[in-house]
Amino acid sequence: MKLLGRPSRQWLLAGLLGAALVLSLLGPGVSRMLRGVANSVLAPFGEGGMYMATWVEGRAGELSQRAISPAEARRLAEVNRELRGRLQAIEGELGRMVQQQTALRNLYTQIPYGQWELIPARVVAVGSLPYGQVRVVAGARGAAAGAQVTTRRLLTDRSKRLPPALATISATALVGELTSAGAFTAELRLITDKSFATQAKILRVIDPDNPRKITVTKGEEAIERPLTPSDPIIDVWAQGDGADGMIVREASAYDNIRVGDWLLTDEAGSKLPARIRIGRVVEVTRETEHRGLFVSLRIAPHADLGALREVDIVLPVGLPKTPGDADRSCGGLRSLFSSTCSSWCRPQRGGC
Amino acid sequence: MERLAIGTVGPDLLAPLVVFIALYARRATDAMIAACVLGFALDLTTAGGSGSDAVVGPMPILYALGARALFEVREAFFRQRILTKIFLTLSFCLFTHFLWVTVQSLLAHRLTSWSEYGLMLVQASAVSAYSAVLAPMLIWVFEKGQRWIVLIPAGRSRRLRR
Repeated sequence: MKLLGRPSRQWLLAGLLGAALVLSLLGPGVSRMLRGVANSVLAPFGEGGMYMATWVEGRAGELSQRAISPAEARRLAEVNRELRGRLQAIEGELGRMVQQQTALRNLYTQIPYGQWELIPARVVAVGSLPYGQVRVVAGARGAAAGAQVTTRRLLTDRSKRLPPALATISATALVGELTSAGAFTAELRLITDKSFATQAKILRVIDPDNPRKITVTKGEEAIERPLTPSDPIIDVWAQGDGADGMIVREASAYDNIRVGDWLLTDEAGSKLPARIRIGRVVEVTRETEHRGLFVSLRIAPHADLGALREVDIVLPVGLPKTPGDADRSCGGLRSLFSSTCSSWCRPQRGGC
Repeated sequence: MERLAIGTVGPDLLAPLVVFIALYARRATDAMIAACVLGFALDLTTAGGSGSDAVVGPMPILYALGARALFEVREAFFRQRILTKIFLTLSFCLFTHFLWVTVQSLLAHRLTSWSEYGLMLVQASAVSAYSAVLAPMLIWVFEKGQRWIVLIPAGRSRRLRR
């Protein structure tokens, strides 16, 4: 006995087309709700294609880099010089931090260790169609209606909802913050989103082959002198540009920030207890207002946001129940710190 | 996906599947139902459109209409040829994506400027071309698994060539 005879197929098609027409007219609110329901079923199917595309992209990049031309060799030599300069800057910063370590240790003993926990999460999928994700961001902090946003949907191992605005990091850098979370899912706002803004620091790279002069003021007198490792790191406010980078405005031109300088997180903030990389300065533009005393910076993210798959959500928690909990919570942060300051996170009483 | 000035460009991997179904389905209704379901899957996993969250609904309708059009003209083509697969996929994608971008722009809460609309059309063209390039390989894979995709395939056409 045929369950679906010819007339039933016609009705099925008519029903599907009718439902599509009605949904089109109901507006984005209903569509958003449907996507939320359907995502838990359909999103995992997109993961295979996403990982395959990333793998192919990575292999293609490796193949294209195997043959090194003379121009490429010269570029690598320049990169090596730049890295040497950065290493010197880091060593200078390390020396300063060692001097502060005793006071910090005393302070740290008053703070419960295991205060922070890293929750692993996985990026589920970007949208199926690659058209620019433009949405009305009514009510979002600092964003006008129609602002472009870049977000990712995450799968976590937490059945309970996570608090919003938690910092999220990759293996190498800050990548964004949570905007919302539910059971086992969360939405991540990338650092390139126009709604993302954060206090940050600029670390000026010292290149011995290309010394830099900065201007310091003493009273009303402006004095130019070479940049030294003891010069302070610059506090700035960084915001996503809505495309593929970040913008820093009103940085002092006296600080002589250059292309190649690093943008780091501000460890004094409550979201992230560490100074880790966010990006690198790729463009410095003098602002015409304020008599040219300020510059705007374009920042390229350090992490490859297009290939983002595994991330960690930084969650402030209470005291750990077991020493193992403290080790787990500090392990991820320690691996990030080891590239900048190996003495920042040191095992004490089974934790950081 | 490649990042260009017009935005990201990536293939519509469901389009070759719809083309395959339209070429091999026995009935137009079957092809339209399958295309409609695939269109729903695509719309439900698409976040952005123009000016606001993209509404769910236009792609199932467009996919169904595109599948019907392909079904009607399939006798005019040698479906085993690579150029046929590329041409049909390109035409299908241009039709569906152009109209999808237009409908989403009209339904968006925020008015879409002509420049944004033009950029999205250019992006849709790039998406269509990308999908058409991948179509022969994907349709070849689908043809190998035809018995699981199309339960009752169409009979051999007198235009079929090896």
